Formats: sequence, structure tokens, C-alpha cells
Amino acid sequence: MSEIPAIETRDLTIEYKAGRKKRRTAVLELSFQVKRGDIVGFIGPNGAGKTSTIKALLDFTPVSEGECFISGIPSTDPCSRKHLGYMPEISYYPKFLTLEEFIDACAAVSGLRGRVRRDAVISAVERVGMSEHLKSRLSSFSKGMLQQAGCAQALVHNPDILILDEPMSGLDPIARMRMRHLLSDLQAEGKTILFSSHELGEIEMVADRILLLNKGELIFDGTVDEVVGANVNLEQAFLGLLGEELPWAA
Amino acid sequence: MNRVPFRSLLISGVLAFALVMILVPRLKAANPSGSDILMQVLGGTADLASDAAYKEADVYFHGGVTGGCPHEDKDHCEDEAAHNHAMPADLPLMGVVERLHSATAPTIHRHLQGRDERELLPWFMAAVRLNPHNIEAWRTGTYWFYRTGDTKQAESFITDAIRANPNDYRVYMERGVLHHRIGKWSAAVQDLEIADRLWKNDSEDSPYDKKMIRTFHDNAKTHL
Amino acid sequence: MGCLAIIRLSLLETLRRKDFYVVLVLVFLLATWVVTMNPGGAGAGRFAKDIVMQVIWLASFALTAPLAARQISSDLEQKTIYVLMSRPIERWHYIFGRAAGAAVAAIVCFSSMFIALITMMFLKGTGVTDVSLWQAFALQIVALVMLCAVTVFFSITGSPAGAVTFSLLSVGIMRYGGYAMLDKIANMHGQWRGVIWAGYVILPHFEFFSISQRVVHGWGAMPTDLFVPVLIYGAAYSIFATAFAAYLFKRRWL
Repeated sequence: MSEIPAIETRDLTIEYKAGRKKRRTAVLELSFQVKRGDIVGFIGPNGAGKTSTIKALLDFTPVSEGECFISGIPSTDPCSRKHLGYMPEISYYPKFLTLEEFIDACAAVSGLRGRVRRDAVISAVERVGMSEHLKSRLSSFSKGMLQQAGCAQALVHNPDILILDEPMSGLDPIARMRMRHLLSDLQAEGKTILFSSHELGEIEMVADRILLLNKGELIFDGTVDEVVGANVNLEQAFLGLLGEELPWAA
Repeated sequence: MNRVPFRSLLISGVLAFALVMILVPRLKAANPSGSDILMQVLGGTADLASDAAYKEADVYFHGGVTGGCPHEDKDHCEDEAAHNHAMPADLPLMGVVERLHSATAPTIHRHLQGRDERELLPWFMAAVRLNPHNIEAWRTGTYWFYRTGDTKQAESFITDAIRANPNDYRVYMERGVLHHRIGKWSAAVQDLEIADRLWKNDSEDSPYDKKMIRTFHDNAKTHL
Repeated sequence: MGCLAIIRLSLLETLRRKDFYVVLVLVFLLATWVVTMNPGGAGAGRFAKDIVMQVIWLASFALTAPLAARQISSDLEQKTIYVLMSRPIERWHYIFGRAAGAAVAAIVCFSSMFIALITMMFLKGTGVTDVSLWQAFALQIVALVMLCAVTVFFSITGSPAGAVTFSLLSVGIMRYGGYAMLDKIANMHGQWRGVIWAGYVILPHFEFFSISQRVVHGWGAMPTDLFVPVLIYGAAYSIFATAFAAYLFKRRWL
């Protein structure tokens, strides 16, 4: 019996209204699976459809055609998000709250109660290295600190599946290193991670598989080694797959 | 409170105080008529507010009923029982809404009595504060001060009216009538003579006022 | 559980903002000034009660509408909604939670200002045990809940500024013209009368909740057979408006 994939899309098509009678296709017949325990990098140029796909998986965006599943449950069912943690690309959080209040609210909405919730909040904040800022207001946080807070809220309820949108954005090199280690630790715990990023070097270091999107279509679905192949690095391979000329071509 | 907002608050407070200290004398100097800053700021709306305050005194006297009658057909106002006439029953829930109207807004007017009559006085004081040229408010307020037994305050009130409106015969007339009521005959005669001198035939009530001035003046003189 | 957490979030956000405290301080200052007033030695108990009640009632509406309008719109604008909706809650849980959170915050604000009124009345010796006063308090609370629901509905369909404008307009028009409309419709004739009446019935009837004149002029308690149905009407209307807002929000792109 085949294992139910952690994340799956089937012929996913997303169209937006672009004017009175025009429609723009953001994603076209996209089908992919993310197996349990994998770390999958979701890459593509700006406007490729990565964020639209993630939004469809989280039911933020209605799909025009096709389906999305989280652990076999349709993404339109809130139960699909019970064991899902999401870190948005833009780290805007309620600025009037302290870090503790914010993470606590997230934990409460996820269904955690009482002592369990309290411990989960402390644990999540410690994990991202923000313990000393527990009582600080989010309005006083830098961009990097907000990213870490975002990571903490995604982890607080100990989800099995994580969807991270640009998790390295705004982080200094040390924080990036910590994030890479965190992702590895999470994978070692058996978590499934789908993360989008423009930092191809980071993806090369961390991801098992790559999903490359361009103009709403899946261009490549395979391991990092498969895509790098004869190329020097992922960036070269990426540009090659997109048909872009390399400015330093020999 | 965070440090930065507190400091900003303090600086803003100091700046505002400084602005007031600089501007108020200049505004006063620029205003030859001497009316206060509040009236300057309110402008024309002060007159409207004054009229509203004066009308509110009437509402208070009638136990909260506005305009004397909540229905358009003013013939009903003569008979209190007529306020309970039924609305058309053909529309659903109409009866319920009508009952709610009666419950939330007073519809049967009753007059304030005894000590409660003093509740009108703040509205007259507010009316004349907002518009010192609201003669009706001065006159009616004077009457109600007198009626509630505070003749000293009544005198003081109408004297302030004279100060604010030195060329209006009606305020002298009102003080003359007041003095007549409380038995200050020579003061009554003096005020009514001034009223007679200043009298102008500029309204519907003017001929009636003229008769009043003459009548009270002549009567007061007989007591001298 | 998700709803309760969102309610708590809304309350925390409201109490951390400074505008509520500014209004509260102004109301207490006004009440203090009114207590010390004794125009013409008249005591002015009724006058004081009238002024302070009007100010508090108006201030509570003025605070509640923007508070409710920014609940969902600020989440959408600042993308803070993603963090909430990525969790296992239904969209209608979120709408109800935000509307209820705004209502709880509005009630806290209003109750704080009401304390100023009670204190002023106690010091003026005008009595605080009058049943109609507490009925007015309960009715205003329900009116604020209704205002939150209506504003949340408007904020889903339009901008926050538009939501504030429409909801405050509806309060103003119904409170000061609701019964005049009734008179006009009662005197109408023709085939449109029924249609206009139906339109009138579905409007939010804020005028039912205003018994401040009853309190000021000592008309005694509102009959129970009207008081209780009005409360039920307010609660039901609030649920209806919020449910409609949740329905519209269901397939909205985030």
C-alpha cells in the first residue's frame, strides 16, 4: 500500500482576474507530491507561481481547477492544517503583542491548552534562539527577529509538515546557519518540509528534492544531484533550465 | 509607557502651552468687540447651540417630550389620551415598533413641578453663555430663577443681560417687571423708563411690550 | 477554542492602543467638571446626567466603529491573517472571533466610561439604583455588539473608512430619524408601501436601544415585555450580520 504523500497537488490551476474580462493564469495543471520526511525546495523566478501554489495548499486562494491535499485531506478542509505549520514570506505580525503573547495566541488557535500550551510556547521560542526576547513587543523587533518569531509560531504546535515561504529572507549569515541546522534537525525528527527560496545556495545545502516552477508550469521535479548534473552549481542549472543565457559564458 | 512616547507627550504639552500663552493675548487684541475665544472658535454655530439649549429647557419642562408632540398631526397635542391612538395594523410588526417608540421616547408630556423646576436653569445659563444676545433666553431664564425662589440670582442674571445688550429695551423691561414683582418700586420705575426710551416697534410683540412697560411703570409709580 | 483565542487577541490589541485611554481620560475630566457644576445653585442633577450620558454614549459609538472596522481589514492589509488562517480554524470561526473580540473590547471601553457616569451620579446624589439606568447600560452594550457586527459586515464588503462611515451613519440615522421614518411609512399609500416597510424592518434599529431620555427624565423602567425582546433582537441581528459577513468571507482571496 503506497504511503499517503504529505503534500500533493493534482492538475492544480489557479487563475486571477486581471482586468474586466481578462484572466491571468498563475499556475497551470501543476501536479507534484512531497513524500513524508522529505525536504523539498520550491524554486522559480519571480511570478512563477510558487506563492500562489502555497496559498492554494493553505486554502488562502480558491483554485480554478484541480485539487490540493495535505496528508490526504483536501486543503479546503481546515483539518488538513491540524499538523501543518506555515511561515509566511512577509513577517508582519500584530505589533502590539509581545513575542510570548503572539506565540501563545498561535498555539491557542492551533488547539493547545493549559500547561501543554505554556510549555510549547517556551520550547518553540527556545528552539529559534529568542528566549531573551519573550517579553518584548514585536514592534521592537528587527526584520531578522521577526523571521525567527515567524519560525517559532510555525513550530509551536509541533506540526508534522512545514511550509516555509522564504525562510532565509532577512537573516544574517549566523542566523541562516542556525536556520539550516534547524531544518536539518526537523528533518531528522521526521518532519516534511516544503520551502520556497531565492537563495539557491541554501537550497543546494539543505534540500533533498527540487521543484522548479516557471510561468505557472512545473519545469523540473527531481533531486538536487539530478538537476545540478554537469553544471557547476544549482544557480547555473537553474538558469539553464529556464533558458537564460549565462553572462559569463565561456 | 515607553520612554519615547512619554517624552513626545511632554514636549507636545510644553509646546501647546507656549502656543496658547503667545496666541491668546494676540487674539484678544485683534478682537475689538471683546467676545471670548470660545465664541470666536464656535462662530455661527454658537447661535445654533444657544437656540438648541433654549429649546432643551422647554423639553425638560415637558418631561423630555420633544417638539411637544411626536406625531405630525398637532391637533392631537391638546389631548394627552390622543397620544395612545393606534397605528395602522395592516403592516406586520408595526404595533411592536409603535410600542417601542412609546417606551424609549417620552410621548406623554408632563410638567416639571416644585424643586424639579430648577433643572431648567442650567440650560438657560448655557444658552446665554453661547449667545449673549439671545434675549429670549435671558428673559425666560430670569423668570424661572424668580419662579424657583432665587430672586437674587434672577436680578444678577438679568443685570448680566443688560450688560451684554445695553441697547435692547426688552432686558430693561424684564428687570423692571422683576423689580415690580419683588416690590422694588423705584428700581422698577427706573428700568421701565429706560425700556420705554429704548423701545422700538421692530417686532410683532413690540406693541404688546409697549403696553406692558406702561402698565407696570404706572403701577410701580403708585407705590412710590 | 480558536474563537476564544482570537477574541483574546482582539481585546489585547485594543487595550494596547492609546486612543481608548485618551477618550477615557476626557470622559473622566468631563464628569469631574460636571460634578463640580452648580449653575445658579440649581444642583443640575438632571442636566449633568444628560450631558455625561450623551457624551459617553456618543463616545462609545465613536470608539466602537473604528475598532470593529480595523479587525479584519488590518489583518488583510498587514497579512497577519495568514498566521491565523494557516491553522485548523474555519473562516467563519475567524470572522466570529474577530467580531466577538471587537464587541468584548467595546464593552470594556464603554463599561469603563460608565463607571465615570455612576461616580458622577453618586456624587451628585441623583441615585444609581434606578432600574432604568441599568436597563440603559444593558441596552447600550447590546447596541455596541450590534454595531460591531454591522461594521464587520461593512468592512468585508468595503474599505475600513467606508465601514466606519456607513455604520456610524446607520446609527445616527436610526437613532435620530428611525421613528420619523415609521411615521412616514404609516402615512404612506400605494403598492410600494409594503416593500419600503420590508426595507425598514431589516435596517439595524439602533433607536430601540436608546432609553437615555427615559433615564434622565425619570420615566422609570422599560416594561420587561419590551426590554427582553429588544435584547434578543440585538443579539439575533448581531449573529445574522456576522453570519452574513462570514458567508461573504468564505471564498475571499487572502
